[in-house]
Parts: sequence; structure tokens; C-alpha cells
Amino acid sequence: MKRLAIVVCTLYSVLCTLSLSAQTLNIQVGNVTYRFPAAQTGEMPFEGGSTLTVMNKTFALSEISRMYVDESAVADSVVTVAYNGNAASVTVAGNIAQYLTIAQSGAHVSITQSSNTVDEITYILSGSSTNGGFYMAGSYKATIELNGLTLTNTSAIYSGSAIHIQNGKRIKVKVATGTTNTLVDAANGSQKGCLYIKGHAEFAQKGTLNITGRTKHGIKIGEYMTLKNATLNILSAVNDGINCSQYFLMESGTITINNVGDDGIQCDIDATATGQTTDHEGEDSGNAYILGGSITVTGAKKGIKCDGEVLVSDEATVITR
Amino acid sequence: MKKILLIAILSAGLLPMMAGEYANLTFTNTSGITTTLSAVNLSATVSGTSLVVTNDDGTVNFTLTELASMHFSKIDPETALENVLDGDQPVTLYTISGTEVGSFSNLVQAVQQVDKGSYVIVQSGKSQKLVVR
Repeated sequence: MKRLAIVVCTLYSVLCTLSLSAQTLNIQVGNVTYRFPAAQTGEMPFEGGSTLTVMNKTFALSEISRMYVDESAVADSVVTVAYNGNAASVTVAGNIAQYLTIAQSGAHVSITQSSNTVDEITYILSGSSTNGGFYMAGSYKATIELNGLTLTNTSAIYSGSAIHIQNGKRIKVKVATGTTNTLVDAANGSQKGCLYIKGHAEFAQKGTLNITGRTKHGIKIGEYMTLKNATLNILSAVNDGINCSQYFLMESGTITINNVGDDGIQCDIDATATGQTTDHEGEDSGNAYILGGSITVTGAKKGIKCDGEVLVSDEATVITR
Repeated sequence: MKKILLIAILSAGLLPMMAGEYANLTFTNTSGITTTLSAVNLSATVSGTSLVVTNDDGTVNFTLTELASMHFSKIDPETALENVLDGDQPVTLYTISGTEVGSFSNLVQAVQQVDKGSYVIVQSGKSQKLVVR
């Protein structure tokens, strides 16, 4: 009886999973596919034989390559970008389609979030390109998930950075557990870093991120930066391996920095010095807090250079040579 | 244990009712006439001034300027006739590609006189898909 119950329950679970998939309307515009769950679409008006509007996203009919219905599931608020050589395929969840303007040139992808964006959007980047980049602009917090991405930027189409986030809010950078990600930016460009984030960056998860900065810094964060679990390898950089402002806080993980022209990690005071604050709220101290994990810097002018103090706990390891 | 088994079996039995919830795509033209197509394997492309919609039943061309809207629906095209159309009133049948097959005094006569296949049936400005088996 027990075996039978287990078999039936297992079968039930499988069927439940299958039943979760439902009709999805896919609208292809070039290499971008907008994915609208049928249950969310409601009435989709045509206008004058020239436009179709779905969930407040208006498409020119002339730009639609194809529409089709399948039974795949759509995760709300997710954009995927899959690089493949000189091209990139983009999918956009229907609930956020109205907020995004997407441009593409080969494997260079630019996404602009409108100012009325009300959902945090997760951008999942994967695949490989030797001539591509990812640029995102907006004013609402976002998540960038690196899920096995190898990206070299050789021509500054939207930016010379491999990844450029022109967004002053909190940007969570998930280095997906078990993945290795490699970024190389364009040489002799004007970008501030191979990975540039205008706002504050929170690195997380247990993947590996390799960075080569061929113009200036390896990683440039406009505001503070925190790190938990991830492994960051700066293979080389013209200036600093990591450059941030306000404060640098590492809870765990591993940072290895080699072949940099200036400092391993540099943390500046951004605007007005506050000194350390409770829970680092509104903090602009120029401090580096190494609470855990390990940092190894080789061959830099200074291993860690801060406008404030470098505070290293007993649980952390910092090696500069 | 028996209770768990019973609940699991009963629940599994409900699943087919949940599948394919929005199985159809209904197009409405500017005159208010609707055409419901199965959404299974449906794809559509713009060709000149037409929206060309293809599914397992065939291909339908819509003139873009005459399209007002579309929406997913839960109506089963094979049973919707009972709900939407009056079986005693005259109907006109068209092939899926839009060619008129003929006008009939009522639905039963139409079904008896046409070959097996898929048709669009129109009555009083409303249309539905009809499958004659």
C-alpha cells in the first residue's frame, strides 16, 4: 500500500508540474521574444492595421517577425540574454515588457528601463561572445545574474564595458553558483571598468567571475560594494583591480587580484564623509570592512587603498605581495 | 494512508480539467464578428496587409485594417456552437481559408450537407469554428 501511495503521489507531483505550464503568446521582434502568459493578456487591441498592444506594450505590426503560442511557462519580471557568437537572443517576460526599450547590434545589447518601472527586473546573462556587451540603464533596483557568461567587448557600440549598468540604485550581482563567468572589456576605450555599475553593488552566490580590464579598472562601482560567497578573479587591469566609493564590505568569498597597474582595491569617499554609520546606512566613509573570506593581491602598488580605514576581522585573510 | 491515497487519486483526476485552460485565440473584427481558433500550435505572421494565422486546422487570413482585437478564451470551438449560435437559425459556412461553402437554413442541415473538415460558421454577425467529423 505504501509503495502504491508513493507511486501515485509521485505521479501526481509530475502531473502538477506539467499542469503549471500554460499557454504563452510569444511575439518575436528581431532577436527579442516577448513572452505573455495567456492568463495575463486580456483584450489585445489592434489599431489602424498598424499596431498591436499586449499588456500595455505596443508593437508595430511591421516589426513583428512572428507570433506563436506554446505551452512554456513564463517567470515574471525576468529578462534573459543568451549570447551566441555574434548574436544574442533576448526574452522578456510579458509583465515588464511595457517598461523596456531594447536595442541590439549583433551581440551588443542595450536595455533601458522606463522611469515608471515598478518591478525589480532580473537580467539573466549566459552564453558566449567575442564581440558583445550588455548595457542597462534605469532608475529602479535590479538584479544581474551571471549564469555561465563569457563576454569580450571589442567595439564600444553602447559602451566599452563588457557589462555597463547605468543605474544608481541597488544592483544585485548574482554570480550563479557552480558557474564560471569571464568578462573582458574593450581596449583603449573611455569606460571606467570592465564591469561598471553606477549605483551600489551587492555580489552574491558561489560562482566565479574572472575580469580583465583593458582600459581602466577591472570592476568600477560608483557607490558602495558588498561581497558574499562569490569568487572574483581580477586577471589584469590597467588601473585598479576593484574601485568603489562610500565603503567596501566583504563578508565571505574570495578575491584574487593580479597584474594591475595601480591598486588592488581602492575605496574612495564619494561626496561628503560620514564616518562609519549604523548598519552602514547612508555611509560614505571610504572604509574597507574585510569581515570574512580571503583577499590575495599580487604586484599592485597598494593591496588595499582607502580614503577611510581598512578593518580586517580575525576570520578574514588578506595577503598582499 | 488510505486517505492520502484517495486524495491523491481524486486530485490527479482533476488535472485534465485544468490543462489547456486558454486553449483558443479569438479574433474580433471591426464589425464585431469573432473568429475563434485553436491556440494549439498556432503561429501568425504579417504578410502585406494580412495577418496569416496557421494552426493544426489550417490557415486563416485576416485583413489587418479590419482587425479590432484578439483575446485568449477558454471556449472549446467544438462545443461553443451550443452556447453561442442558435441551432434553429440560418447559418453560412466558410472554409478555414475564407471561401464561402454555402448558406443553410439551420445548423443541423449544414452539418449534414458538408464534407468532413473544419469550417468557420457565421450566424447573425457572430462566427465560430465548426469541425464536422
